[in-house]
Amino acid sequence: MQIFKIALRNTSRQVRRTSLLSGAIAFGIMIIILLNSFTNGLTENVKENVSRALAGHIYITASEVTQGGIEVARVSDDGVILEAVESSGIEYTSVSHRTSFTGTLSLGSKKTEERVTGIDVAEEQMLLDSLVVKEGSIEAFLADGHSIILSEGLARSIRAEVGDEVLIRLVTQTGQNNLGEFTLGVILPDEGSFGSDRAYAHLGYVNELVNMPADASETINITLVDMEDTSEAALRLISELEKTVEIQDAAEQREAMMNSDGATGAVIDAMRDSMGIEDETDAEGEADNGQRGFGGGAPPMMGPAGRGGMFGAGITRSSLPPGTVTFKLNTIDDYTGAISQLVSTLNYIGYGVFAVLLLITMVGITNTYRMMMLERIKEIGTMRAMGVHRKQVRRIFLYEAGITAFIGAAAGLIVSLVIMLVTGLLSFPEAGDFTMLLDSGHPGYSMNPGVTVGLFIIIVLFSMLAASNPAGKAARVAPAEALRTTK
Amino acid sequence: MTKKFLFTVFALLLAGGAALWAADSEPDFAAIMESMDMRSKFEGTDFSSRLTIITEDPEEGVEKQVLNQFRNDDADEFLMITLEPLSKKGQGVLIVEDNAWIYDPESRKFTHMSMKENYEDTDAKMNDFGATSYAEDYEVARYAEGKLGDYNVWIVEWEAINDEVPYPYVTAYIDKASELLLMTKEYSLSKRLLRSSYFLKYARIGEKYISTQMIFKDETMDNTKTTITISSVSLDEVDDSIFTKSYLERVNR
Repeated sequence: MQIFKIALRNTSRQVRRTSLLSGAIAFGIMIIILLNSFTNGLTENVKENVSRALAGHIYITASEVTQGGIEVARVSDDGVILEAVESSGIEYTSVSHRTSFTGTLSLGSKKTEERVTGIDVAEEQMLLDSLVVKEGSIEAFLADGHSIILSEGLARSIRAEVGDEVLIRLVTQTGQNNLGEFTLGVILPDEGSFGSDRAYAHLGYVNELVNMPADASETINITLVDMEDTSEAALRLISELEKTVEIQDAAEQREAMMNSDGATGAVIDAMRDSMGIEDETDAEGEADNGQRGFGGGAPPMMGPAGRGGMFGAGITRSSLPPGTVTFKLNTIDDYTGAISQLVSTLNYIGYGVFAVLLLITMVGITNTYRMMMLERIKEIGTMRAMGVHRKQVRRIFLYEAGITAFIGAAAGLIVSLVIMLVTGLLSFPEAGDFTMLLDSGHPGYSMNPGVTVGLFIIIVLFSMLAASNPAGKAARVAPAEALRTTK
Repeated sequence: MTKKFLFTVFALLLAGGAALWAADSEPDFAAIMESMDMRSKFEGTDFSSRLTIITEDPEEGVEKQVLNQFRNDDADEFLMITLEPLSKKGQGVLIVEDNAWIYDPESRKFTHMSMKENYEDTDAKMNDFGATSYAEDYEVARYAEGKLGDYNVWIVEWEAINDEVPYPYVTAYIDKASELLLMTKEYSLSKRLLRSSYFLKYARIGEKYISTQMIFKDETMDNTKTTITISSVSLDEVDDSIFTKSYLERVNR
């Protein structure tokens, strides 16, 4: 304890030097904490925004073969899914039905192509509550089954005002032309490339337009109590559904889920054991996440390209007998795979920068402590002459380095917290393409306590490691020789 | 005298009745539709022509495209290659049976497309360029007689007999004398008028007929129409290698 006190006192003997050393460490820690928190916040914001836009965390679709031999994306019987959801024991807050199509919106001679999502207003109160209305009213939309909600960019592109009749030309699931007659009920502010072109209509009318039974839907979306449980819940659901229906690429879907970020817990372990799957290295597993998703391809409801397989241009003929139904699960991780990968890359870059800063700091610490050893050589000699052991001299130096590093890391943490607090207050209501990355228009940070504690441990240990050589030299100094030394 | 008079009256009544029956009996529209399909299909010979497509859109302006078209109806093969404008030169559409691709010479890539799709930004669908299949796809729901300009026409309402044809409801104006289609009005599943097609001129090639001037008017957009003119029609043999992807790639080198 006495040794620790001496080391602590020594750090205040050369305030300027200690400040410079701590400052360098603080800067490195600040950078890595800020970057890590920012990228974590980015991922969470994207997932949260995607989950809101797509109404849930797990999306179930089905491919049905019609009497004419055409594959259509349609869940005609949701009973089997709802039963599986209940019996799987997953914790969810809501189940919603959606159908969408890509059509040409027109007014007069203006036209634009866009994807229209049919929502069941009774199930999507959360979405409706979250919409920021620029013009019109949600009440007007709810009152009229042919009403439509458009984002400002879309409405502007066809010069539509609230109350105008907007025609939407589309093709049904089997390729017939159809025309929807909508009344523009609500205009929403733009939200960037992912969410800017938003168009919502009533599920019943959308089903009618794509020639789908009123009680069917294209997807069934499940919102979980905790988004972190997505992979585990999806696995449970696959297992339950497999008992009664056919799941497309179930094995691949399972494996993808098991490799996913959130795939933890007893269920996954049990499944791994039952399937004889050995643990993979975390780094590889994480690198694969998101890209593979369910079955590896783009989820079916992600925009015209994904939908093309079923609607419009890509009417798919099936070799399977009419009436064949195959279910498929997608999760939010499939949609956020790209952003997760970007975040991983940013984090790796951040760790790289941190490693360089750490190396520079270590060199600085080694040099500083070598100088300190020379400066304090008489003092060391005196201490040794008074009975202080070599080990204790060494510890004084090591503790001093550790304390300096800890002070620097703490300062870095405090500064990064202040920066996060201040920049988190900034508001970007017209962020355009970046809206999806924000938390209700604000930059969002999410600090990982494990990473922060790990950084503290690393920086303290590496600083002590850097000081170990001068500390060892100081410990080996002979007392008599040290006392004879002149500066 | 009485017998002769009675016989004459009977014969006249019979003839009048037959004439009335003939006038009132329903025309054999199934046969007419089959005949229309048969006459549009070039069996036993290849077909090639030059297409001039003029698209008028109040927003986009007027665009003219010139294309060469090749058909082998026996093998269900079709190829169309753009000559003008220069910016689209070499762009092609290849259809082999149920598969259709569009070739972009810029990216040198083929993209799958559907016969039910519009050709580029025109109001013409891909299947407007080939043989028709009215008899296979539609049945007659109602019909009436009428006039279309100077022509006496059958106004026939067709309803699709499967859910895969692009237009579920069509009103066809068929010239009584020639049994050629003069105009169609095409409706959506919700029975809204989507497109009017006018077949202004026909060319007779042997027993076959091809409309050499067509106008397609988008009824959901103001002042938007596409005019297609077909010229340089030939029934000369077309090399089989033309109906291949490699041909499109080759001509663009």
